[in-house]
Amino acid sequence: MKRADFLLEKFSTPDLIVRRNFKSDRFDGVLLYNPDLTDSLLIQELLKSLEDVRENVRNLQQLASRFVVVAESKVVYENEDATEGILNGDTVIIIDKANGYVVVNTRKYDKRAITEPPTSNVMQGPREGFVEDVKTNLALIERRLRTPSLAVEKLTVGRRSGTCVAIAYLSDVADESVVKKIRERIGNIDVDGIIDSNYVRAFVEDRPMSVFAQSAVSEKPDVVCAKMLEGRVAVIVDGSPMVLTFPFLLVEDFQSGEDYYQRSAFSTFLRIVRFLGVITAIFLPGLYVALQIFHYNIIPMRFVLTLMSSVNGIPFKPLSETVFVILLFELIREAGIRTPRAVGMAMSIVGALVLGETAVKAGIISSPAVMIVALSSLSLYTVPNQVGTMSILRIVFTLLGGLGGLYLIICGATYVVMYLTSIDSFSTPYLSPFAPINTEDIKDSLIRVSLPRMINRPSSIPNKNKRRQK
Amino acid sequence: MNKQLSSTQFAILVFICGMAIKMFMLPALMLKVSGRDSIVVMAFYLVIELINVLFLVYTLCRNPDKTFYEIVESGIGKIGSIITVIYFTLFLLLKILLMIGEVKVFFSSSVYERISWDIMIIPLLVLCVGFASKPLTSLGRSSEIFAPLIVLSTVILSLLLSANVPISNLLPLFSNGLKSSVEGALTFPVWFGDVSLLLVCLGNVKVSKHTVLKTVLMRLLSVVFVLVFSVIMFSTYADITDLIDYGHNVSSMTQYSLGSHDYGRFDYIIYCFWMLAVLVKIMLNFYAMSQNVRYVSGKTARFIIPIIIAIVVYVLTVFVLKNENAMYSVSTSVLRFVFMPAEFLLPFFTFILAVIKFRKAEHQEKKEGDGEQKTV
Repeated sequence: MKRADFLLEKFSTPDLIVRRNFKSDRFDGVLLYNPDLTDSLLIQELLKSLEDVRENVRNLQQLASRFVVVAESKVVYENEDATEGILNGDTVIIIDKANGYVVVNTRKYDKRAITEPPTSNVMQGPREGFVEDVKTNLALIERRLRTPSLAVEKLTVGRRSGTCVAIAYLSDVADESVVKKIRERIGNIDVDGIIDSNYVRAFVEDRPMSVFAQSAVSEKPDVVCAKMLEGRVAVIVDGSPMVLTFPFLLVEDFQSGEDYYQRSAFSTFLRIVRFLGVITAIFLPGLYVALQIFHYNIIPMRFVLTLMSSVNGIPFKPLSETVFVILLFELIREAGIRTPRAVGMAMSIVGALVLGETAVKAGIISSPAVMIVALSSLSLYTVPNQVGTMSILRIVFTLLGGLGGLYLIICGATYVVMYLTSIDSFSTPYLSPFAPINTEDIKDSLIRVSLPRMINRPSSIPNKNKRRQK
Repeated sequence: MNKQLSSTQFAILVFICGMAIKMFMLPALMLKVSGRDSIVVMAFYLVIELINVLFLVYTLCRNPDKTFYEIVESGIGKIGSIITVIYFTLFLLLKILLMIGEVKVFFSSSVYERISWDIMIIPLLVLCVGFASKPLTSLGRSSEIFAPLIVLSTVILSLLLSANVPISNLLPLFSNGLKSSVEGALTFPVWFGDVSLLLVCLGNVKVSKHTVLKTVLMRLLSVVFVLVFSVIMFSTYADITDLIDYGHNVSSMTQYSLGSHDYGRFDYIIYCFWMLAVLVKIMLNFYAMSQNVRYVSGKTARFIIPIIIAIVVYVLTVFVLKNENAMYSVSTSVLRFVFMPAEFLLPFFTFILAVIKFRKAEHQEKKEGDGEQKTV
């Protein structure tokens, strides 16, 4: 059959595609499919049902609706659509002397089971996590949001990867302008391939070059659904377990899904701890250096004496010493992530104990510097999504503290605040509900009131439906 | 990004402008000139500023969509408005030099033993350029973040300082008649007149029914803070003004109240938060200068104009007004009289122009309405 040959010619290795001829009482035809991506049992069934056709078939639409009942199917007329179907794991049916193709969804590929995501373990609450399959991820959302207003739009992005990107939102809650903007930005992506949701992120965010993320990332369906209920839009990318949500507020990273499954007072306490953790992580090494170099009179005398005896004889200046210890930590962290698990533990011990303790004993670095950087590093992980940003800021503020003391730290902090206040994520002020102050939304920011008191959806997030409780 | 300030942001800017640079060195300087009567001078200027705030808020609420430039231009024409804006810009230049001088004095005399200010001023000017290249909202939002820190640090400092304050030292007032008060009032006007800075906010504020209340309350709060600090300073040093030299400031007082050996000078950290108010005021001043130059030049260059202004400020600070004494001399020279109208009369002048314009518009509308009725 010429049309089957024509389609197969497009593939660099046509042998990869299986061609099965079949014959029924009424017509001859061909099935084309990629065996690596398809369900062989389903194809057998499909083949059997096609060979069993005894009636006259007027057109492909009738064939698809009456005789291809083993899976969902559609009729396409463009060769490109048929090729795309084969690449996606669909089976293409070509009938002799009939225009067009019937594309049957026979996709089946191995996927990871739904497990607890390693990036967000919880003590309480759901343990399901997204996987790399967009269909499964959508099912996880659909199971939690059983409402007809749940809208899912699928786009194909990536010239060579042909990745399915789904935009999910609640049509009667999410603001149409936000959805439109996201749809446009994703639609305008023109790259070879989308391998992960972070690829999409860079194209959708307002300031992709910024050190601050302008989209939330979550591996947990409960978190994503809660955000969608607040009017946010989720972007699910096939091949990635990380689901993006827009618009994004900085305060979101201080919130954890688990906060809503605990007593509100405890959640508030944890959020304040996280906030203090971030402040400690960013500013502590810089302050330590600044106080040592410029403002030792701020330190109480007893501490000064202890400090002096600890740093006595250290060959490094305070700034270079602290930067050295920070870089040492970053090195250990990076190696720890990349090292195979079997040797990971041993490497951690070598890094933390051997390198750290030996360096202190040898008098290369001082114990206060190690302690300060260790405390700061520990604090980094109170807000895991901001680790990268905070690591950069920590080094910057350490340098500022070492070069100009408190004055430069204040100038630097003012600059960061100015920068953050100038960011809007889809018309949502990045620092909302603190700047601009939004008294209603403060209820679920650094503090969290109990759920019955959260009567309205956050007004910082553009939405069509303000009230969430009657 | 929404380019309009909210009422709260505007009120916070009014609060910050009301208290910054009035609580740091000014009380010490006033003491040298007016002695105990300094409190009278301080109160006098604060009342004038409060009245100016009322003029400003009235102008804002009556003409929420009209900028300062539009009001002045519609009142006195293009040429007149350009002259006014140039004069206003020169006043802002003097004011920013004074404020940078204050920051410099604090950090160089209190916090640092040795510092090269020629280099250290650059980050401050980079900040100014950054803010001036963004909409006013950015500064408004930043003030919302800083305001709690500023208030908290002011309250902590008040508590630290208030122990053992000999309030009775404030009396008797006018022991030398009105002479010292008048002398003080004539020496330090440049430290006041901050309402003029806020004229740049006209037309950029989302006016609500609470705008007036919020603004007046915040201004009153700043007045209370300034008076509390001044009372503490004046009553503590009233009898020993000779000990005070230039550069002596409120941080010298906490040094004695803290017992610094035991606790360390942790108050410096609090002063740094407090300094945020001065930084915000410097940014607003710089923003106003940039807007003025944009108006006069007719160009809307986002970065070039602030950079040029930053270079001018840098040159003046580093090469012309090298030390604090020079800054003090300039601020208390004849220039203080030259710029008095910009400090205290400009808000009133804008208010008058706005009222005239508003009345005219109202009259015109009424006329048109009558005309239409007759036609019908």
